Amino acid sequence: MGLTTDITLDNTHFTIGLDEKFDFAKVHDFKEAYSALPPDVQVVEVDLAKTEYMDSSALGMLLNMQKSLSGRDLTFQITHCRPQVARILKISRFDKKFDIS
Amino acid sequence: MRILIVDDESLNRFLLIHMLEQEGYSECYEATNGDQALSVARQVDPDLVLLDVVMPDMSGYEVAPKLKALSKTNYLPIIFITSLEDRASLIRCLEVGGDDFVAKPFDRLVLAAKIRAHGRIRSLNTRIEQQNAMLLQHQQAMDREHEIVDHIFKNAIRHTPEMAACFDFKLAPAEQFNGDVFLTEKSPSGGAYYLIGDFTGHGLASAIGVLPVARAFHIMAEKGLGVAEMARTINATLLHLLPANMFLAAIIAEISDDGCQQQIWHGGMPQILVKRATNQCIEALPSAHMALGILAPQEFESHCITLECNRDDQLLLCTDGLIEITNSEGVMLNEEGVEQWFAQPDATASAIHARANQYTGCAQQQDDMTVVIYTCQPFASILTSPPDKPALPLTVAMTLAAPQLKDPDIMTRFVDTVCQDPGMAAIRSRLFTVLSELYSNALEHGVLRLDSNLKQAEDGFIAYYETRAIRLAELTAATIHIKYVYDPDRACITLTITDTGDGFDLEQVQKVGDSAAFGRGLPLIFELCDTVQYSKGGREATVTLLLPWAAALH
Repeated sequence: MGLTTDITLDNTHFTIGLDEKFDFAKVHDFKEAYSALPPDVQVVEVDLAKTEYMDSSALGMLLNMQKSLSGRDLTFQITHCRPQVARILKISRFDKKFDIS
Repeated sequence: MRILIVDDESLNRFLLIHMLEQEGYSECYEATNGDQALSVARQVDPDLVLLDVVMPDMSGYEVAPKLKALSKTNYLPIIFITSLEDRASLIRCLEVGGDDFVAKPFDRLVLAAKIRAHGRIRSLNTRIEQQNAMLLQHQQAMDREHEIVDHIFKNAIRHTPEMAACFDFKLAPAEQFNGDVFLTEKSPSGGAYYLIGDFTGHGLASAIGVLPVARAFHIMAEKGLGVAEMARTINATLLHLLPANMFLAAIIAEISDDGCQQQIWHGGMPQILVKRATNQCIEALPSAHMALGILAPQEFESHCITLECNRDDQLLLCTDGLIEITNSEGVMLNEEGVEQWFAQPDATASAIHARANQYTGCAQQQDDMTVVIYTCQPFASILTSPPDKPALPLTVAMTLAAPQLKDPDIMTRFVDTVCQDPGMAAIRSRLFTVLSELYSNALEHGVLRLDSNLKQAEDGFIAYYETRAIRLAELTAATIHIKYVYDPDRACITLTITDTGDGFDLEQVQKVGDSAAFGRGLPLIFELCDTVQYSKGGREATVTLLLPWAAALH
């Protein structure tokens, strides 16, 4: 599928990597990706290095993830945004809720 | 050894030949006057000449330079045989080109010793001649090779005129070939990529690494890959190619179409300086990673920083060749010195390069030196060359019925179709977002009659998409009509999407907070489009998107 997950050896940094398209077709896989998050995780990173297309359902998925993990002390990062994707995140004021880089 | 004896007196010739034969020189030739000497010399190419000074017609003084001239490339020893004893005559012997003289009557041992000495000089000379010829050949072969390599480098590192106009750069290699590299390429989304790098060392050995890097950079830039992935790929390539003691310090960045946002991967290069246009303050961005070609793929860190700028802010990028220049007192310029130069109001790459030359005085340049200054400006203004702008006034209209509506990739396919022209790359990503928002609204709310409030409930987000899937599977009779019109004269795309649903109340939908997991589609549409209009009670949406070069048309 167009989604990969990765965790550091010490189990603290969990990364979800998306492919070129981050849209509603990823709803299930994306939720699945963080559903069994190991207890030691401190940082959840969404890596958008490859993502060229994004729609508002992707924004919904990101917020949904934050909401469903809200009971835990986690830092959420959105990383490697391409300029066009960064623009959409900026328009939607996601910089208030995520570390975007 | 071939010896030519020139003497008008046969007795002298006889004596000399006899002596020489006793000494083991059997290859002797005789001439009785100057003319004969020259013609024999032409035939036998002697290794040494014994020349009488006083002869009728042509004296030895006249013959000597002519004999020398015959033996153009090599040293031909001429020993004068003379009964003259005045100093002036002896000096003249040497001045006309003679190498030595023996006095009559001859002393056999002295003569033989002199012949051996000059023979040695001649054979030494022959060896030097041969070595010179070989060196010359090597030199010519190397020049030819350098010419070819130079040609390849020039082709590998070529900036398009548009890109060259956007960056102010000056590269000064320490030798013919540059171990520093500066690359630029347009990005498909209307911005640009650049790479500034510095291979270990300088000269051809370090320049050779530029070729695979330039190739990988241009291919990845054309594909529009992210900076992190570019860095990762180039690292893997270099790790494989380069010897362990060689690597590439580099900065790789992608600049957005408005020129003001950059994604930067910074490994092992001197700090980037940012000069703000508003107050001339300078900020420094230090290197975050190790250079490329050192770390194994699993150790590699691709983390990038995002730099936000305003129009006319300036960036200075340089290689350590500039930082490490020293003046006549041995004082290094350092990063502080570079910062001071950059702070000058008229700082250009050429001006900084000129100051660097002044600073070092006439000392030879030790390392390759590269300076790049980028002034933040929208790239739209430079993408005006005709081939970049799609010229065809294209209209694409389609009516999607149930079977097509069930295809999840239908919008990607539509965007691919209308963005066939490479000039559309600038708007592709934006067009996709706008179109998929409009389409999702038409399909989910119009055709499938899904209610966004569904998303508010616990796990509603998933429930919403599950319901969407069920209703879509059951769908039999519904259509969505999409019309795309590109007007090259206005550089404008007009999209009209009409569905067969019930429509909606725009004002009602717009009242949504920031943290709701839905209701973000409409604000996105309003922000990304230049105009948005709903008609037919919300069943039809018409939006326009201006291409980056639209402003330059008026």
